[in-house]
Amino acid sequence: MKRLIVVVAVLAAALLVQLTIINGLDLPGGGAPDLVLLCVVVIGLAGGAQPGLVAGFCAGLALDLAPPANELIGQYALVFCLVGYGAGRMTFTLRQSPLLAFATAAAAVVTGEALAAGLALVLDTPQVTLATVAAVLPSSVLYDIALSPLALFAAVKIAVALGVSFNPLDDSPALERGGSAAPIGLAGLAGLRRVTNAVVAGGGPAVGSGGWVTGDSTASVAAVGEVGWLRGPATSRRARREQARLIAALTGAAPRKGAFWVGSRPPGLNPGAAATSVTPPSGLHRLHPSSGVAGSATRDSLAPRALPAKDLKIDFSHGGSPGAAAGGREGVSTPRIAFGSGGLPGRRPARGRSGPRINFSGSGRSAASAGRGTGLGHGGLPATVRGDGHGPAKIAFGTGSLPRAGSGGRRKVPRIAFGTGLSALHRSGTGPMARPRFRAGSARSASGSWLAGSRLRSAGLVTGGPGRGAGFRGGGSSYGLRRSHWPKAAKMRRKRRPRWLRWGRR
Amino acid sequence: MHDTGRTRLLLGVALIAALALIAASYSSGSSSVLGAVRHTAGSVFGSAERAVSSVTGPVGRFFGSGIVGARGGQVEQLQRKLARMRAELSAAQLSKADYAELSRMLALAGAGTYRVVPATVIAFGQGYQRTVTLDAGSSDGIKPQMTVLDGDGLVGQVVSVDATTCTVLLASATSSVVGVRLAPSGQVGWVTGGGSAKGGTGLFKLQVLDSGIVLRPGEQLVTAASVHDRPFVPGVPVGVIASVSDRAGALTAQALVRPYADFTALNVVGIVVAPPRHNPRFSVLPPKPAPAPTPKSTPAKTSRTTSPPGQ
Repeated sequence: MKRLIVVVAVLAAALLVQLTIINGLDLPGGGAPDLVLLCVVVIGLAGGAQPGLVAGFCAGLALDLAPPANELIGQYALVFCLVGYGAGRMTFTLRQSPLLAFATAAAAVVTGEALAAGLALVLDTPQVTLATVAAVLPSSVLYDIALSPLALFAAVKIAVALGVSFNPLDDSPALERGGSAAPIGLAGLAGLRRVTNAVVAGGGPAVGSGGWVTGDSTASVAAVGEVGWLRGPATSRRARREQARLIAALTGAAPRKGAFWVGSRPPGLNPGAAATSVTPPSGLHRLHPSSGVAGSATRDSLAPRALPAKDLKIDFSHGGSPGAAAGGREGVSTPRIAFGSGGLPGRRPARGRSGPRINFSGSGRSAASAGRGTGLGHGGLPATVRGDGHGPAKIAFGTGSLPRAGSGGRRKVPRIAFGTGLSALHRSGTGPMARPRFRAGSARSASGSWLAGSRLRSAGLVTGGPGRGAGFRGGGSSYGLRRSHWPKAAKMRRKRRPRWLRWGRR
Repeated sequence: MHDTGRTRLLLGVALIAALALIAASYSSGSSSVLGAVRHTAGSVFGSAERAVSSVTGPVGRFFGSGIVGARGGQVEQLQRKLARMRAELSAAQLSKADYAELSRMLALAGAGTYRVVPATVIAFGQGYQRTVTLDAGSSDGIKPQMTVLDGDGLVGQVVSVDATTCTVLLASATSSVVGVRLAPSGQVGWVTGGGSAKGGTGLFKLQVLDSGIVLRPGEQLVTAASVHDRPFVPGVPVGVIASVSDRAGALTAQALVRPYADFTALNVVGIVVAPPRHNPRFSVLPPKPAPAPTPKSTPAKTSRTTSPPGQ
């Protein structure tokens, strides 16, 4: 509401000043800066696509109707709403670098001027001629470009004062409506960075990032759909995106938008709830896939000393209605995750080096779809779960042939096994194993940090006590700051759109 | 921002709305609905502009004229004077003072034939429009298609009127055509605006129907009478021929005209509410410069500063 008032006031002031003073000035070159256009551009840049669009349309319409206007109604509304929308789509530049943002603002302003001139040239034929445009346009554009950094600077200042965050790490869905968080503190930021660096430097073959998992596991997106988590296979772009998000949420990478919880949302992350319950950040970065010891993953977190070491728990079925997450079946509620390079047999024709896969299933459905016994440990995937029940989840990272596979009907808990060395029986290809790669330096906002960040935020600060309550706790991985693979949806999008527009769709 | 689909939907709606508005106002420029909308918006924005202009007008005028002709040491003095004047004068008093000058000039020049309503420019057209808004409206008896002039010559015509404001299409607009008579001979022709007075040359283009006539630089133009004196009353000075473009075989004799009015520094103007009883013919024109005029060196500004006509 406050933002709305400020935006309206700024636009009205810009309009009046433009009409009463600026247009009357006899500036060298014959042109005059367009304050309204500048305002629309910076509102779009600082506020996002929708505010930019609405502000542009309204300001343009006002400019079309305010008294000296004599041309067709709607001209400026058309141009300005396009410009505002475009600028709003480029909001991410503000989080990248100021220079890029200034360049974007200048480009948007130039586009707006050119569009307005072109439209006037086409529509106001008797009044606007090419000579007129040629006389006025260049100097106007120059004035606009000269003023755009100033305007952007002012807009960012105002927006920050109004509570908009431009921290790159806050480019998080959690900040959006229905999100769960307040801005992360500097301490948390530093912690994240430190952890990331440590992992990158000393990790070696530590593959713990959710990135590669996310990337490869999208091969089994359809399987996720089949299990009933989602309504059928992903046929639409939106569904694919949603699935990629779910997978990202489950595999430890953070979703790019809209944090997702399986089961009920942990109390600490509830947007409505007071941030009293302190949820420590995840400790997945300590997981070493080669250790092979279940439980070696500690909950040691970004603020290690403040938190007691604890077994990592993954409980997908916590909370009120597991059936909701598990596709409506009651009592099933134990999704299982198996990370293996070999591909789940009996699922789909396995390809050469399939990435890790995820199989979520309740027992009944799993049996039906996989056609084997009970549970989903078929195919020798290790440590998978038999049966339903509750209990601490365990994660086993193994490189070997994954002991305890396929047996044991009494386990009650889902387990996760990271394995690269499934027995040849279960491998469909003869080539070398798929080895997850850990590559530094892709997107900052790619994965992990958001979930971790939002958890940090909801925790109030990093140094919280031990978390209580269950939930999808271990999901966030702070490794996610580096991501080596993109989920399928992201890949497909990248083909269609230039790389620098990657975060534009928000 | 969060919901891209919704944003895109909104974008589509906005685009369609804008296009529909353009189409509607393109096909029927004077449709009642759009007219009402424009009228309402005009009164709202017009009053806002009046308010803003009453505060910022002197400042803007100061800067506007200061950039054009910063006259050395006078600036400081003018600034002080301005501060004093702002303290003690309201905008109305200012325009009244200017009106006294204007009406004296017109009374002397046209033998009291024009009755004008004084007005001040409060807003300027955006972009490529050559329009201004005046702070006089239908409550002052202003109607569309009235002639607007200032102390120097023709300014334009009223194109739309709200309660308290009116919009003037400047004579310098490319779409503006004014019928004129040449001063000594009474030859009939018309001038079209030269587009933006800012940046461009600001010269009007004159075409005279009699292609055999020999135009000379320095010849003066006044408005020819329109039908029922709408939109232009006769006898208002328009400009002086600056250069002649001889085109053998052209249907009309053509020349470039330097307007008397300074369209970049419009401030106090008069709207002619009653046409003269008699055609003042050329009596309103400022006196010609005595020597054979060299048009390049006699810009409009020079003729502005000459003594008021008719004295």
